[in-house]
Amino acid sequence: MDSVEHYQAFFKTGEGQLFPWLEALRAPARERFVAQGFPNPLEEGWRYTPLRSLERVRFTPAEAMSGVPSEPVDLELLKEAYSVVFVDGHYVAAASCLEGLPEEVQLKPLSLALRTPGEDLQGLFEDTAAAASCHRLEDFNTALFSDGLCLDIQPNYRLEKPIVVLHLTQQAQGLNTLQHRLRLAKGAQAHLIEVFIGPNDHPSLTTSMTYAVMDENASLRHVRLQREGKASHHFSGLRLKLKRSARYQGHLASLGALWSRTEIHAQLGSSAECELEGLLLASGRQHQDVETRLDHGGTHASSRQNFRGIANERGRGVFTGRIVVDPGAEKTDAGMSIRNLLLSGDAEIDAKPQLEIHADDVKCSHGVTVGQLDEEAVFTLQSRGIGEQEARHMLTFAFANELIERIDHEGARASVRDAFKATLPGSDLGSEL
Amino acid sequence: MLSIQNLEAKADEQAILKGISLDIKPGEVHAIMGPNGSGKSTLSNSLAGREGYQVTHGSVTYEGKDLLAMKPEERAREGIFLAFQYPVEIPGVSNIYLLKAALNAIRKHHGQTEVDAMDFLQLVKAKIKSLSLDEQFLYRGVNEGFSGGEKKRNEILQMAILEPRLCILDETDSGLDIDALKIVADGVNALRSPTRSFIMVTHYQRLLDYIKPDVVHVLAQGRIVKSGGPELALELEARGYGWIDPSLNH
Repeated sequence: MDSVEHYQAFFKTGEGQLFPWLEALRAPARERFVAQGFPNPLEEGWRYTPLRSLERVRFTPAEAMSGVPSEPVDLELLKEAYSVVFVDGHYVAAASCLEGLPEEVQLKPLSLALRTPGEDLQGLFEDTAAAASCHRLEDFNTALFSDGLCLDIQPNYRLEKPIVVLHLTQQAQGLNTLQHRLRLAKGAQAHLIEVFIGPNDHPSLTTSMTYAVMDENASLRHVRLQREGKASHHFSGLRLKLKRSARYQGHLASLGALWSRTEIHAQLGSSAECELEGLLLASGRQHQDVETRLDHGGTHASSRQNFRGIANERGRGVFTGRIVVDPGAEKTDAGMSIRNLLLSGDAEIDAKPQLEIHADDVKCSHGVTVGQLDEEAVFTLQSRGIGEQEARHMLTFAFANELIERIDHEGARASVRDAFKATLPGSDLGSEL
Repeated sequence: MLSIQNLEAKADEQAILKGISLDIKPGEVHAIMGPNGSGKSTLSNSLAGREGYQVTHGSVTYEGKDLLAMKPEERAREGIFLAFQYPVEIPGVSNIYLLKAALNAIRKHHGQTEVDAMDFLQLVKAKIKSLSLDEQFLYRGVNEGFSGGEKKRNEILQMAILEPRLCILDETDSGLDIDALKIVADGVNALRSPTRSFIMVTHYQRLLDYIKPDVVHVLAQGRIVKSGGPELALELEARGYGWIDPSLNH
């Protein structure tokens, strides 16, 4: 059985009667995936990120579990927040906390919403829908998603407490497929913190797509920490529509998984602001891919991208950052910086910035660097009594920490910092750098 | 404390030091003066063990041990401190972290326990005040965005916290205005003790107005060409290096 046949058996069918709009979304995605399978390395966008290792394993969706997860859900983060916990791709009510949500905020797992009659799910899906699917991994997700987060915030409501979404993987060879839909009405505000965690000893595949629309002046802060297990595969995509003066601030830390790809696509309306920061760490034989595409469609919109990659041992990093300025999108201000650190001769990072500018009066800049640790700094630390290895760890951490420091939520910042320290090979660093 | 015998060294494959001998006793302050290119920085960097400086001949004995066999961090743990001519910026590593990590590395080497966090903070705050630096300075990246004067004061702060036995000041006065020079000199003078020695490498006599040396050496073309008391520095200031070696008159 080839991999397409294997996954076909799990396709969601039979929803047509109750949810014809959902079937209308899934059917074409299913067809594309069945016809062509997973993206192959000959296709644009997948040349540096082959899916061979992903196709080699036959992942199987887990049954929804009952009760609470056996792994301890450690996160400090879950306190002082609304929390949504998915285990093996299924919402676990017993581990989540949605108490005290104001009526202006609709926050529900998709699995529950689909069982509640009268929910305006169709409107939420239609409003947040992307113009087209970008590739067959996205189709794969659409054909299979079984749960996710539905968030809908009324105009001008500012949700102060963050929403923490925890994705936990337990089952060996498990397949977790989630799709999230977020709609922030005019002037609404939210703060979303997503964490992906899994065990190191067996493979799993998580695909998580988020479709979001942010109306005029809406604002979303979004932290994503990917610390999946060392044998796992991870794909997550964000498709974002920013209307006039809407503001999105995203922090990504992609540290875990054997194979990981994160995509962030945003369409910017007039005066919209999009800030993306991201850190990736590829050690051992890890493959970390980050792809961004920002479409400046309106005037006076601004975007800032600041990414840092660290590759160690035989790790591999791939960055593709594309900025498109549409005709008429005058006064666009777009900046992208990608800085990389190679810690071993076998490590590799490929960074590809792409600018496509169709307007005249715009400010666009990009910079890419790939380098090693500053030997002057290593010697300075040694000359103060710090051993060479420790000095190198300290400087590597410092390189990452400059981005981590910019996460404004204390709990999220601490989680990312701890995860980074735990992932950095051989490190034994103190706490307060 | 330190005995240098016939030291010859290369910097970037070029022979710079051509046979230096020097004896420094506990508590002494030695000034090493010389024109540009005379080998002053090569001497400081060779003593600190910097990569790119290769000792080709001679020996350096520090407290009875072969200094040249030690790695840079081992020299530091044994009590040698080099205050850099051009301190580097280390973004992302805060001053306070560096100070603590360095102090603990040295303490560990001497079989001592890690410093208590509260005691440490108190110690650092007292020292930082005496160097007229703002407390916020501690939480900024090492030398990140610091002025020239702040960077030099930061070197002295590190020295004050780590309490080395032998301090090597490499052109510490360069780039300092007179106020900053006084603060740095006060910081150094406060550290003088019968058991601590200093090597002050400098181009100008100016620093020696504030930190009185016991011995002044003149380095020229990789050799010590003259040694004397503090009055030697004054004479150099008045008559130029050409007075010692006419070939330097240019």
